[in-house]
Amino acid sequence: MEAEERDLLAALRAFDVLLGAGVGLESVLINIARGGYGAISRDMEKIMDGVRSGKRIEDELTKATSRTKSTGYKRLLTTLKTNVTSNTDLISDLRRQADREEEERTDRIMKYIEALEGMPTALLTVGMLGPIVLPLMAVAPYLFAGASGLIDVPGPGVARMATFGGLAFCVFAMGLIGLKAHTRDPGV
Amino acid sequence: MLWQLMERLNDNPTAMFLLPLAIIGIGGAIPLALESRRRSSIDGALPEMMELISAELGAGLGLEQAFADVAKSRNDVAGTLLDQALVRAQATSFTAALAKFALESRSALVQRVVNLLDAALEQQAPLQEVTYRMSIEYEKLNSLMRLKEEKVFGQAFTMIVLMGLMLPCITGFIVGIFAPPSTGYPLASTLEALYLFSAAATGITVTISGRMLGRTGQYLWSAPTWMLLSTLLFQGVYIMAGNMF
Repeated sequence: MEAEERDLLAALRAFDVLLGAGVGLESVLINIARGGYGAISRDMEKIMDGVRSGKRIEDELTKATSRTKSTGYKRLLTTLKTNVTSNTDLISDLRRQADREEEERTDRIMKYIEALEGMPTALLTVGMLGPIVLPLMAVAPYLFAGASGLIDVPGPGVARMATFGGLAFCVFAMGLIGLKAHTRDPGV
Repeated sequence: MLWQLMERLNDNPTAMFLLPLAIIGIGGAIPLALESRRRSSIDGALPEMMELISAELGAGLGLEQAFADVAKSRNDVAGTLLDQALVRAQATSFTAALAKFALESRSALVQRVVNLLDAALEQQAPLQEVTYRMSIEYEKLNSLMRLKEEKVFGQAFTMIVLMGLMLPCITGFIVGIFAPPSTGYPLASTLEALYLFSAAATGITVTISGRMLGRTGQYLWSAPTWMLLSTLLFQGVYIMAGNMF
């Protein structure tokens, strides 16, 4: 998930409230740039810095559109630019976009919950198989000490190293399984 | 008895290492848990407060009077904070009171609301409409967060119970049955590795659970306690199973 998407809905609602209250677009951009909306605030600050240095707002919005990878944020910037150049009904456009974002956010959370459903089972499988199977490997040289002529038994040192390595691998695998909780977080 | 327990603890270097960390960790986890509860109480109260303010504005009261009435009508954390901010700001201004409330709430949601209200006040916008729309928006957001918390908390709790309590009991029992101390196998280093594994597996699970719930810091502080519990459980069950069979 892109950084801008985390606060996009809140920013859209702020646009809606402020524009609906009669605040001008530039003042809204300044208000958002003051902070509180994460990556969006930082980007709006860049846009306003450009405007203050004499560049046209539509050019700054176009530049910001090419900078971001978030489709939702790109949509917001395009809507703002279209309003500046063609004087569209910005409030209703942003409301529609906010409703769409809200639906997408709910879907993302549902998907996240679904993605996490199998995690306890996966963790338990790895966490249980390791300490059950690997100590048997450590005991094997002593269990099969009398049968060393019949089967090839590794020495105690090798068996111990294999056990330790296996346990470390299990912990690593558990960490990898758990990484899903971080990477798929929709960030509400 | 106590000396015997201490002697047993000596055999488990992981537990010896985790014991002081667990005591420190509890000290770090409690304030974070209290703060999290306080903030969710404030965030939870926000939509209702906005709706009340909107209703009061609709009844013809001013914003300042509406805020004062809401502060007096609530006996939760948000109400108390707002009341304190309004009392303290009597010597300054209403916007200063709002800023103080936002600052002391330490909640991003409240800070956003205050920021928007401030801008709406500056522009003399229709505040009743603004506060009503905010109440609906934050109600939706809160119910979504509640839904996520309810669903994810069950999984996080299951994971901690399975990995922190059940797994050390099962593995300790199995290892205790098949390789008890009475067999004489030189397994001291393998046992030490298993104590460490038990603690590490629990630590990872607790961290994952914290990340799932969005409270990584709080869970990281409590992780050493769970890790200690897990490694001690493994050791205790291993010794018991080894002596039983």
